[in-house]
Amino acid sequence: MTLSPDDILYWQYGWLKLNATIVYTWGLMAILTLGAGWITRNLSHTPQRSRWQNLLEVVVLTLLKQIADVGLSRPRPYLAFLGTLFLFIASANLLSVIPHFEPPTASLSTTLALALCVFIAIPLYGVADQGWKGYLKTYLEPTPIMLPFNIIGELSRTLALAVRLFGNMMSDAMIISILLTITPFIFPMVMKALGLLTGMVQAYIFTVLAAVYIAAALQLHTDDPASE
Amino acid sequence: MLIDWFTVAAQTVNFLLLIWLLKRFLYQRILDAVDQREQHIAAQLAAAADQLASVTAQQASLTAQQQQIAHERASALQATREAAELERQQLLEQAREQAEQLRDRCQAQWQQTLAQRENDVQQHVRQQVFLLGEQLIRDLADDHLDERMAAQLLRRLPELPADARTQLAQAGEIAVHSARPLSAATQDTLRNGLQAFCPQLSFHLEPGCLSGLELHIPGYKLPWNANDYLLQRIKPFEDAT
Repeated sequence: MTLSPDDILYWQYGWLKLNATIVYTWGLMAILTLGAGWITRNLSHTPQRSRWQNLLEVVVLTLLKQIADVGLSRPRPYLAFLGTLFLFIASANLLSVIPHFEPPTASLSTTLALALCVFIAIPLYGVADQGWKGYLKTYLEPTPIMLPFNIIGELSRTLALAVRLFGNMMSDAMIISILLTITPFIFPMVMKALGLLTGMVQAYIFTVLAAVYIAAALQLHTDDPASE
Repeated sequence: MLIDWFTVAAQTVNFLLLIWLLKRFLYQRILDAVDQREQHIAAQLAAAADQLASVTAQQASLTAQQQQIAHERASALQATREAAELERQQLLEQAREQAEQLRDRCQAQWQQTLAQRENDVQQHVRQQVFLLGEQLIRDLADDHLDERMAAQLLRRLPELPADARTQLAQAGEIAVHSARPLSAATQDTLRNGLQAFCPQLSFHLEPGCLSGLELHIPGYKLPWNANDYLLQRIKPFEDAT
């Protein structure tokens, strides 16, 4: 039994390797991209539209609403990043019901990569909104003494994001594997259903936390009386 | 080691690539479709609002026109009612005048007819009375009646006008006409009465001389008969009617 799909190697040449995490991520990307491309190839601009278009519109508009509810009043610039986070994590977790499918989110490398993306996206959005000076100034708030604590807070919440998602996904896969070896009938099915729920919850939590971090970075600037 | 930095880098690239792919094939297309549909709906709502405004304006205009028509109709109805009332009064007055004229004419005609009828009845009564008297005289005529008639005739002589008495005196002969032969006594009475005027008498029968006597001289006639007597008595009544 492997703790992470990183350990399942299909090909390796020096430091170059092709493990299950990368392969299943590519598969997931292909499914998402091809599915989206196939559904959106002939969109209707009238009130009469197909069921698949309805589904995608519901997903996209719900994501927009959730992002707006978090505090980003103009959610469209953040839709691509936050929406992709949610769709990737959610679809990876949902596809875990398929036998022999290893969810990439069960890999700490994947969750760390996602957390690093969030870690980089927050200052990028902050700089885009406030400029370099304005954003870096937020690290000195409320006093310059808080600079190291702010930096530690940034790093620690990135680490928390990665570990939280990895821990939940990995533990879910581990528990199912263990239960499958002990009681191969009822418990694995129940835990699989529970895993679907926790997977969706984790996707929602990861996305909402990323949105909250971005909103918090922008909110600091907005609430600053001096900037007004 | 749980963290494979090569996989971390690969997954970071994969995630960034997925962001670009989904933005290209999912978000942009869906948002464009939603935006276009919202614009289409907004355009439809704007058109509906314009139509509603137009319809509201038309409704207000029609309401104003309806009120104007109602006002004009009421005015026309009032004017027509007043004209009809005036016409009715005029026609009523005209009819009343015509009725009064007709009533007066009928009343006059009726009174004329009544008077004519009364006149006819009176004339008929007179004729009947006259005929009755005539018939009575005819039935009662005898010698005594002749004598009475002769006496009546002679009594009228003093009442004659002067020229008539002159003519009577100058006549050579006086012709006495009667409906029936006179008795000798009657003839004597006449001779005695007329002796002062003319002593020569001649007696003649005249059937048309009803119950009476007539004295004929050239140029003059002095009658007395029942017919003239009755006519003299009736004449005042006829003059009165």
